[in-house]
Amino acid sequence: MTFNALKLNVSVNKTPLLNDISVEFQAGSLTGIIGPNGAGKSTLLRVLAGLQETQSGDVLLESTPIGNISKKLLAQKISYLPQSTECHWPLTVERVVSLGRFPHQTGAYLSSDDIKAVDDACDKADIAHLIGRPINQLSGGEKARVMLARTLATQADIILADEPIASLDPQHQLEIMTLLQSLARAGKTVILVLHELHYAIRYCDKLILLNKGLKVCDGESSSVLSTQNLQNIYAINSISGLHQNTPWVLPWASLDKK
Amino acid sequence: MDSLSDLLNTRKERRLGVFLILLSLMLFLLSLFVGEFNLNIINIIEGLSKDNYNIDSVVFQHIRLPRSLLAIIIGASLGLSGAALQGLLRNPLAEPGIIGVSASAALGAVLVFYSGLSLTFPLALPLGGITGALLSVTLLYLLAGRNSSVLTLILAGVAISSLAGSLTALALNLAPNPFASMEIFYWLMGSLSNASMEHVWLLVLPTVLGWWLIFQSRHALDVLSLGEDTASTLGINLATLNKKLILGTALCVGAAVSVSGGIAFIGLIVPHLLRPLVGHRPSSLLFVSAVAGAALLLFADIIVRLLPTQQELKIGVLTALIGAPFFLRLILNSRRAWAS
Repeated sequence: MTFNALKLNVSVNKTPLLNDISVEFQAGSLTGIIGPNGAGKSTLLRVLAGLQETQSGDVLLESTPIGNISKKLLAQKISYLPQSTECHWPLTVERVVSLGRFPHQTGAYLSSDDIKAVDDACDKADIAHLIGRPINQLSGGEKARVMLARTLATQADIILADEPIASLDPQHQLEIMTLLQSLARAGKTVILVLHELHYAIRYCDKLILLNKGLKVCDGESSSVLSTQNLQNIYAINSISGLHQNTPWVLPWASLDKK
Repeated sequence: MDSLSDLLNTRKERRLGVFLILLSLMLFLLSLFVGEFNLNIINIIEGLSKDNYNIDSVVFQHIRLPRSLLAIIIGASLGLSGAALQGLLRNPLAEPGIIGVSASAALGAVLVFYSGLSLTFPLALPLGGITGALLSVTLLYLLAGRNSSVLTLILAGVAISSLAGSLTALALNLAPNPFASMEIFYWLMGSLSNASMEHVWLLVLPTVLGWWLIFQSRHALDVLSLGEDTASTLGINLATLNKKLILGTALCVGAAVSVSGGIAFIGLIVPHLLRPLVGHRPSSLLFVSAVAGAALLLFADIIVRLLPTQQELKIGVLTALIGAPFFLRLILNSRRAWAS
């Protein structure tokens, strides 16, 4: 499964959001898209999901532009988890998760495969105990995990997630990051937009650093999150080190003197 | 605890559907035999089978039967389109009457009537209604479809309603013949009392086409509850979905209004009451809302015939009298949503 983007240019109302971005993703690896606010992270993820039109450039899945793949087939291959956890009707948890099976369904009925996938996704996202409850009665963190389970239920090869841990407590943040990492280890292509640099450096195999619509650099996590990049791009001083042979980083002080 | 497959099956919803169908059938039979004139079944069968017309069979064939059939078709259209619009706009307050679709359909039908087009070919009347409805749903979708704020939707609906209402009033005002405008005025209040078999035939084709378009999109409505982005990445073609639902609603509501005038609130009350019974799923809501809409309109039509008023109460007046307080209560309950 090759998945890459070539020379993406996106502008909305003549404001350029992405400039000439080319990126490549490997199956079996967890890639983080990072950068300060307004860098174009979510825009890049939306382009990869086929949600955002580009002025030029292509997103290629197995060398085929995703625009040339039928929507249904694409939905089976790529699943997308948006930042918002909106659900307009108080559907039960299992109904919401089962919507992730929509790309595989031919009629109204869920096959035994579909039900198994829903069950499996609920287990992985640690929401099995919430089954039967309406989604509007859940906490923000529980909702976020239900939505993640919905994404997992599709069993797509490529998982795109926009800040999947933003509203979670540390315990669930660690669990979800571990889960996403294990999905990558199992052969999936996992791509996340992340703000939490300490998780980015610890869990991601590869990082793409964006700033003002440009790709600053990409590569191995600790080299992308170098002291220099954090100073130049994020305008922060940081402290970092190694714990059990895993690099960590902690933002420490803003460099902005205004 | 129930297993996952038990929780995800739809047995309960099917039972509800069967119950509502039986209820509608009962009300249909009841409505055939309720009215000022007491019908004798044996006379009817005799009259119909031997072409030996008697008063019972004539009343049955030309008054009661078309009226009950219209109540079923129109009630089903109103219930179904309410549920479909609520699913599309992701808003429980969407209803053809409230958001101006009925008023626009009425305007279209009045213009056809007024211009004399309805005399040249009979299908012109439902076509006028459908065109009016189509324009208003499209406009509404452009104004309030992308974000689902209750406030935007209601305001857009108010604007469309009052525009259509004032244009209709203008047509009535300029009508050369005061009797014609009186007739239009009464028709606008919503009634099934002038039903004929011709009306039924006029209605059937566009209505069934509209129902079909709406039912085709039912599973997409479930996915749409997760928002447009998620729906799109799950393989829904939003543009096609919108077109199907807008056209489907316009076809069945436009045709219904052009025959019966505006009968408000059926599309609000019915889906609202049924939604908790189908686990709030937009797809499951469609069929039961259609059947329950038919049942409710049949019931309302029986009531107006039984009420001891001097002149028969218009059915649109009755549904509005019951529906408006209901609408008010819904708004009070969802006041929090107004803030967003």
